[in-house]
Amino acid sequence: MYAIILGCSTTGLNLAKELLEQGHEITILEKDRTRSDQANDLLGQISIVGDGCQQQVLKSIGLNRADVFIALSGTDEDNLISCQLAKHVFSVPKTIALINNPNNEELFRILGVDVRISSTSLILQHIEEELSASVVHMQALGSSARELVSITIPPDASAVGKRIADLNMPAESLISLIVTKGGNTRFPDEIFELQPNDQALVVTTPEKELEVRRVFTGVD
Amino acid sequence: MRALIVGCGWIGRWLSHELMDKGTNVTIIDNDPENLRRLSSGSGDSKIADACILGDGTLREDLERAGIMQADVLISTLNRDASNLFTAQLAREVFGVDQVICITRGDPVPDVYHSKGIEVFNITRLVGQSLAASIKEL
Repeated sequence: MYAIILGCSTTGLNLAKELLEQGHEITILEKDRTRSDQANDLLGQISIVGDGCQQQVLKSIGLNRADVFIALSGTDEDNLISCQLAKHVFSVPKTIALINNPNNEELFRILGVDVRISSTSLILQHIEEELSASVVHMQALGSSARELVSITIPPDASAVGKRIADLNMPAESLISLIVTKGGNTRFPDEIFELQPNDQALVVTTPEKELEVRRVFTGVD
Repeated sequence: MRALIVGCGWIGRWLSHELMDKGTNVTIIDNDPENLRRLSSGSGDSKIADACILGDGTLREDLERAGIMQADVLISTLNRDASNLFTAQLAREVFGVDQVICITRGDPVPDVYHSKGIEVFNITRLVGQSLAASIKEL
């Protein structure tokens, strides 16, 4: 696989190192010569100095044959525009972007960057998950606002012993699969009764997430 | 008619004077106070000073402060193509501004921006074309 990474941050460098060790071909594009030189000292001739928003630069590093483009620069506009060029000019199959400013998450989602990584949101989610210990984000679904979450039913939850049909699920939310405590998977039919420590995989939206949690755990 | 101009360089300044002369309600945002001062100095018009907002035109919150919700047209004239394309997409996709115009200087941009309803003006290309047209021997 040929991967191009935009931005020689610590994350960019470590990712490049991992991918190199797995036997992949890597180029790191970096605006700053000093940082680019550091990467070359550490990992061999791997980094090119250049602006990732310029098509000639992207062309010169062979973006048209890349399998994945990963934009990890500290500037959201560079991450977005370079991903768009990768996708629409060079037909790169997969684009991944870091979102530095959480206010830009909506824009990146609308514009269809394949995978979006928001460090602020990730940390927030972890904190929320620690606090609530119930809703775990599995995956954002395509470019829609929907997401897949996992909820483990606490032993004292109001949903224990209830049938799926009797749960008052909010709009735009669907229980897609139950992983039982014993490790079996069940498609949820209406008469299935939830047991303590069952795990429900639910498709929902960020807005409805709290309601979904209340339905399964009884906790606000 | 309300116009929001992002970037108070030469283009932003020329454009804001033109639009104000036509009676358009103009707001202009730039993150460099010196650029905004260049617009208002030499003109005794207090309207111009009121139109200036100090802020970063690639940030959602600063665009909101500059009244993007009320704007009928946004023209992005920053000095980097990537910044203009970013701001134009924020205006169009997040704020739903009716008409969005974006200045570029470098490579032709992919059709994707046009298909989102963003009008892209490559000013270096336009200048090149009009220079060629004005050379008599051609």
